[in-house]
Amino acid sequence: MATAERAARDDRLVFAPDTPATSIVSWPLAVARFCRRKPLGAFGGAITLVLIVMAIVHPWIATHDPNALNPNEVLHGISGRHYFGTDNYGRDVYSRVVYGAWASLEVSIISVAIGTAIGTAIGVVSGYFGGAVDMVLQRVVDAALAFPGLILAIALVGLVGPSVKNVSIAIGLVTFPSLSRIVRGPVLSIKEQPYLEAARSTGANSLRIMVRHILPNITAIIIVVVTARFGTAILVESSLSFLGLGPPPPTATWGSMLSGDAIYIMQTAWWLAFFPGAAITLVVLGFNLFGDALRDVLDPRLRGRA
Amino acid sequence: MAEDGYWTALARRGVRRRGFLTGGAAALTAAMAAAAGCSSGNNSSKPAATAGSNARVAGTVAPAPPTAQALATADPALANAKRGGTFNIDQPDEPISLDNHRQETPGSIQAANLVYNHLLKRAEDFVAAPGIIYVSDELASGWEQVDKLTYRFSLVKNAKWHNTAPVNGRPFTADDVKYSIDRMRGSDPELRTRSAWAPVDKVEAPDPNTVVVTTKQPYAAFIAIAGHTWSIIMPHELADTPDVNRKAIGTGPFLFKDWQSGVALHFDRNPEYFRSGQPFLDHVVMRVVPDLGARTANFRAGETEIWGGSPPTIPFSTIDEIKNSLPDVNEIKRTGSNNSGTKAFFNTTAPPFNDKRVRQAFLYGADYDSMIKIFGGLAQRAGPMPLASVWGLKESDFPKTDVAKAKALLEAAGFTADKPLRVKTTISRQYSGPAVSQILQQVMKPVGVTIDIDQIEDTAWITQVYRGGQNYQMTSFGDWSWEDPDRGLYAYFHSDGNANNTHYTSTQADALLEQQRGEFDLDARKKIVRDLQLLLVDDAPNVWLVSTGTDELARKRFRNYKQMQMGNSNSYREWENCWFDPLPNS
Repeated sequence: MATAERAARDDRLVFAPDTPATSIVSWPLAVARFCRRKPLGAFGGAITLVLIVMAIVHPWIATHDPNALNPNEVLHGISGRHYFGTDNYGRDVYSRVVYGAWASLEVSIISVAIGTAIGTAIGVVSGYFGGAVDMVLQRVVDAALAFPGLILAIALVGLVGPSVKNVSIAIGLVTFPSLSRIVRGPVLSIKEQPYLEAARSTGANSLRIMVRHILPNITAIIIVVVTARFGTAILVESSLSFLGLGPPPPTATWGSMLSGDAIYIMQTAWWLAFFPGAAITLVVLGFNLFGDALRDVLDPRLRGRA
Repeated sequence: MAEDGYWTALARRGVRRRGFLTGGAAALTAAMAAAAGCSSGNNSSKPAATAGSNARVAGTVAPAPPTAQALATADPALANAKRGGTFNIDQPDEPISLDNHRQETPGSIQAANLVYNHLLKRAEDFVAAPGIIYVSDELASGWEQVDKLTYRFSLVKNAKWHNTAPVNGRPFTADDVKYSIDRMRGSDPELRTRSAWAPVDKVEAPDPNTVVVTTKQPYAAFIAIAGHTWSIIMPHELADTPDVNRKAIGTGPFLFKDWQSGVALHFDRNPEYFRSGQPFLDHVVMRVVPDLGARTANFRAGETEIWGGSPPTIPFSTIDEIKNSLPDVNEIKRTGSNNSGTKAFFNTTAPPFNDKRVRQAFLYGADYDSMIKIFGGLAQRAGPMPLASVWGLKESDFPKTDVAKAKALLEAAGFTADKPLRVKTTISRQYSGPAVSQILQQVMKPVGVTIDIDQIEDTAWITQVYRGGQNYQMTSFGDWSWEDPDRGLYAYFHSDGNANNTHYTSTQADALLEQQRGEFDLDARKKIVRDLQLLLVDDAPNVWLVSTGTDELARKRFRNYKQMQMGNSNSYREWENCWFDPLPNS
């Protein structure tokens, strides 16, 4: 067997059942296999998990109120009291990073959910119905894709005002077009399958077919794309906050912690930049590594896309 | 016949009317000056101002009329000035309009004051005499107060308007002053000058170099107002057209060249400026740079000559570092802190701030000591007039922080632990809005008040909040401070004031405001202003927080730069007196 084919087969065997007769996949075993075959991906997944857990338990692991001012401790460095030092208002950087994890997670979950829902809906409808529907919808997607994503997000947030909700919606709207394209491809081939003919002949309506038959078959693709999208969403949110379009002050988000006003302070108070920057880097890296590995395992045909 | 005695000769030729008036006025003025001198106490014994040979103290009756003054101010420092160079300023807030009668934001003032002159110029030597406003001459080469209601200005004879259409370099005359004053006291609702100039009854130009202004009642602040930054003298050919917002044609040291929105304004030296030899700079470029990080980078790179700010946005330690890392800068440090007074002001026509108890909850609840520390430790309490000025209250006049009392006030107003007060402060990112709001947000937490910060676009904030709209609850930022209580308080707190952004009405405040306006005696006026301030602090349409300390750095090469203390960001700087030392090898 050629190396590439063997690799592809091995990848796909991560989720293979233990014995040919069993069709239920054992999850702990699948995870163990995943770690063995894709150590980098596992590492990425671990980082991602740490972020999610940190974000969820943020009120308990923070050491201070992230917005509490402390005039006596302005710009202190790393210490036992302040693991990551303090900023020019005397606020604890560690607590702000931890709360920022929650803000970033909140924004990325909501925006990815919106983008995925809209993108999938448009992709499936477009691919399934074809014809005029497809043409119209894809022209809409073309128009949306013509804008550089970040610029469009800036414009949207600038229009409606900065807040967690608006930033999430803006990022979602910016990311759905490409997802719809990715989803549409497989739908076009799936809809020619004979079992769909059978379903139609038993009286299933279009919606039922799309939901019960098409959707499950593209789940793998969606999962892969979505995982990578989390990383992008966090980057876009950081960019918007950096530009002053994120949630209003004093909300701690990683992007706003790096933002313009504090730049001239960072040249000496390096901890102001290092920790939020490291957090963003690690999280985006984690999502990307995990997403890559997941893609290899679920559907290697997607390699090079998404 | 024997020689007539004086009185006999006088009786024979009769007393001419003018002679009688002049003599009478001189006698009256001398008498009032004597009276003022007796009661003005510390003020009359202040050292002469170093800025300008004809500087006098504003807010008091003028001493006996001066002789005609030389045109050049005798500032000895200027003897060493050199010509040349381009001066770059990074302005955080873009000018909204070059018509300072209608827009007085710092950016608007800085830009327009390069091009326009005033009758008188406000000058201040804050090292020697903080809080005393000296007024020296600009387009007026001399002035006298003829009687309690009448002022006579002698104008410079060689001033010309800039040679730009439609004014085309014609000579400056008394009619231009009459036009400008009439414009400032007009009825245009956009005017920021209306309340201050309203007491003027009429302006006459008996000859091209003389202006006589008569007020309706005695108006103690008149000279201070005539020297205020927005009292610019404008040409009717431009000021009557819509171009006045985007173009400036004045008599001033620099010619307006162009304005690229969002980018920069350019100015060139006026070769025909009435102060011959000045200005020294060839060009001025005012760039619009709202981002503090960018301004800092520009200063570090040597592109601008002046940079500064206040904690907590710029900690003093950062300023020290930057100063130490650049060998060619001087520090210009403020010791006092009566510059911008941070404050919160409220819309008193709508809930919840129509209830005085809610406003007072801020007055009693805020932790001023913490705020003073956060603002760098140089700060002090802020009041309606800066504490360091002669008009200022004392720290002991203010109520101390009393969180329990604040909570009790809120409860009385209907806000309990179950139904806590939650308000929105509408700010812009300029004028320390974010810093002040975040700090206020934190210090009001122990009182049980939640403040949400709503940051809107800069110009929108000016028009919808700072100029007094209805669609806001409160705002919190660093306001510019004023030198004269009439300028600082009348327009903002009189029920008929043109800048009453809190929509505050109080018959008691109105009475005190009108009373201080007409009181020439400094001590008497101080007493009225003190009562007025105590009333305002208690009624709390504004809650004055703390004045910030500010620090500035300037390039050593850039000479004679003086900072104004009172109303710093909003005062014009005397760029016409500044110059560049030549570079070492040139």
